[in-house]
Amino acid sequence: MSFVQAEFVVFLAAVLVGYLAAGTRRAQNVWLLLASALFYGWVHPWFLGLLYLSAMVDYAAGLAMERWPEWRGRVLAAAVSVNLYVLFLFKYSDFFALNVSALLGALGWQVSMSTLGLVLPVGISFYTFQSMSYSIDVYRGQLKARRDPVDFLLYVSFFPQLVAGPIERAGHLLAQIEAPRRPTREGLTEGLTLALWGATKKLCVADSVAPYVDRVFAVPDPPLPLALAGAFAFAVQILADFSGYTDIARGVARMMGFELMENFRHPYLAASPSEFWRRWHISLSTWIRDYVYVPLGGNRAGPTRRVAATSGAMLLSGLWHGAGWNYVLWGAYHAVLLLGYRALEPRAPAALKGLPGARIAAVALMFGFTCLGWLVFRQTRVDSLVHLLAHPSLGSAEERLVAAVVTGVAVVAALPLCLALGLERWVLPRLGPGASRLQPLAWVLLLVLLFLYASDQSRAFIYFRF
Amino acid sequence: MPSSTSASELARSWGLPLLLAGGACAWLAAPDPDRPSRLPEATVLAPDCPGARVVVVGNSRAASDLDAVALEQALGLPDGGVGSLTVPGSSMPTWLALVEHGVYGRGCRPDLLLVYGAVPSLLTREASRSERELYLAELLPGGDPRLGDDPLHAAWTRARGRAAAVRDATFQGLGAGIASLWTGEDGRAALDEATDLVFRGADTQARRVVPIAEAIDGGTTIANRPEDTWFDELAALVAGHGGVVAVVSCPASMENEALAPETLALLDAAAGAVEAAGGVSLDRPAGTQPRAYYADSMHLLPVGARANSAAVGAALVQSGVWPRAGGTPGLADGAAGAGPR
Repeated sequence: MSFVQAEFVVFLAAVLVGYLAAGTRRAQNVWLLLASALFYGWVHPWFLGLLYLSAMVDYAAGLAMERWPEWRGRVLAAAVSVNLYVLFLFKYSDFFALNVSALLGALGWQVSMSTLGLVLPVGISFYTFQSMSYSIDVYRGQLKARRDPVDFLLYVSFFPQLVAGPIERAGHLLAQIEAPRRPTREGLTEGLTLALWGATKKLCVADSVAPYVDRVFAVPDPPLPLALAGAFAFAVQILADFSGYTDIARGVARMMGFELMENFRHPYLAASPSEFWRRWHISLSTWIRDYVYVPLGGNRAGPTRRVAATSGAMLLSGLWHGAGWNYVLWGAYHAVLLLGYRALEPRAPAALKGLPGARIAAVALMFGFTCLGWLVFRQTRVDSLVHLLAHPSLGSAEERLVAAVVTGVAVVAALPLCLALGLERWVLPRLGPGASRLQPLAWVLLLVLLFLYASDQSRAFIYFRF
Repeated sequence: MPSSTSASELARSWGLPLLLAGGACAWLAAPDPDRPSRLPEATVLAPDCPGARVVVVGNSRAASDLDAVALEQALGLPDGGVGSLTVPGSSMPTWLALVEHGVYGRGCRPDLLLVYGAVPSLLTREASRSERELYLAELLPGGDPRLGDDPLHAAWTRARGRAAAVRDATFQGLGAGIASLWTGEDGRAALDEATDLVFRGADTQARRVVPIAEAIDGGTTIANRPEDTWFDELAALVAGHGGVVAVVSCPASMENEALAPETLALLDAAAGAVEAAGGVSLDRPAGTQPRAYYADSMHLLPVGARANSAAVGAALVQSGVWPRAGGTPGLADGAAGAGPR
């Protein structure tokens, strides 16, 4: 089930009624576990089996590590192996087989490796990482193993953030699941506002830009202006799409008294690559930081090790998104950006940094680099990307005209995001507690905007496929 | 949950939003006076429709695949003997409503109503939202119960139509405005030309960059039982006005794929009502047309339409449904590859 289907509104209303009626924490959790199963198994019930397998592996691993501490290393290795194997099987095996066959073929060995053609379970990368983080935290002694399977299964399958994050940690979400909760009027109203805002971002901004992006990236070898316009429009689309999902997830969770972690902090206002990753998909970047980058040496290691750690972390980040060379290249591109920035930043003259407008220039430059990254990310045909770099052209007058229109449409579609930023930064803080009185007005305005600009043909969230 | 909100606080919080919501609802549900007419897209009966002895009803397939002159020749009718009522993107419930209001409602009494379309369109139970929004609100302003046009639904349909117009105005207007600034010419024409050139051959679902309203589709419902189709009602309506129905199914696409046996059985069973009332149901009487006859994957070129019309006309004659009592002089000979099921 998707947040932007009409069925979800009915589903959510029923879940909220049942949740409010459930008197105890235990009843609330059982109710949410059942609701999550219905939500996730709506289209493909068998996906639930895979989800629960992943969850139960980590649940059992936690108990085993506590029971036999001397074996905890092997238990963790086994749990992580099972999780990664399932992820590999469903997400990467075909990509691996095709590329190994091609490589061997290029070396003169004709090997036919069969592909499985498995359906990719929605959200598998999200819940696998979330579930694995629990085992690793228990192994590190940062978390006690949990005994209640209901609470643990709910932690892994909590429907608001199940299919596209934020990737929660047990220390944050499981702790809330285990604590008594009482939905409040503030939680309900604020959650509703956040969810409506998320739906507006998805349906009015992302889905309005999506047809233009699709058309541009369907052109076999677009010239530079058209490719850049497509990348810019995609920058708007992916931010509105993914942060829209996160806002709905956080809003729905807040209605029930949960606080999910922040996943976006105005990422296009970043002035450097490292700042970008502190603002974009925060739950994934912090996951990779804590479980990959730091164990590989992180900032404390020497220069060579740091290069290796950064490259490994960013390549993993790219590959996490999908089994495609475009994602690997995107990860590599960001690794180069991060390493290049780290190498050059200390050499920049202090006077330059102190210049008026330096921050604005840095933000603009970083946004340009981010858009180039999205070009790599969105262009699934690597040969087209190579052609663009090898033969950059300004294209025909018609292509430049279409590029201008696509850019203009993306700018206009992004206006609600800019308006919201202005409200959040400058207007709402001045209103103080009185701002809550404006919520009904915000609901009506958002509903009118949704009715006018939400296309009848909504698209799936981009991150569902990851 | 604690509840300490006073009435004055409620009024302060909700007064303006409720006014705004009420205004928005009133504006959205009112007919749009500036909405461009979609009627030119539908070929409505000519004013001399009482002269038409055969009326063709269908969607763009009927418009492209049947040539009135060729059909008149095949059926031995004089000029103007075949009238046409085709609405692009429409299906059976729309055709039924249009026959009632646009044919009989306007005083036409054709001898033969020729319903022409692909099987999914013939078996459609509920019209898609795009059919209702784009055409029927204008063609049948009074609504029609068969199309689910109760007052609430009609208001909703109008509101969605106005919203689509706002979306179109925003994005099409924006595109045309930018193109106008960029080229200094008529922006819309320049943009259409540019998008056709740039995106020609690109594999994507969208036909052009800008249209949004055209892509609206609430999804049609296909009947899966004979009693859920509209054939009974169509046959009774036409028989009540002294005519008969000929249902002619055409291939779904250029590939001329075979119908699933259960679909064919359903069509047979549903068309039983038409045959019981003296009509006929013909499955793809023209058989496979050469690919050179197709303008795209579905619609025929004029040359294909002429050949197709001759074959359809011949099949109608061969089936015995034409000529009707009273006779029509100068009938064409029957053609091969056609016949009633």
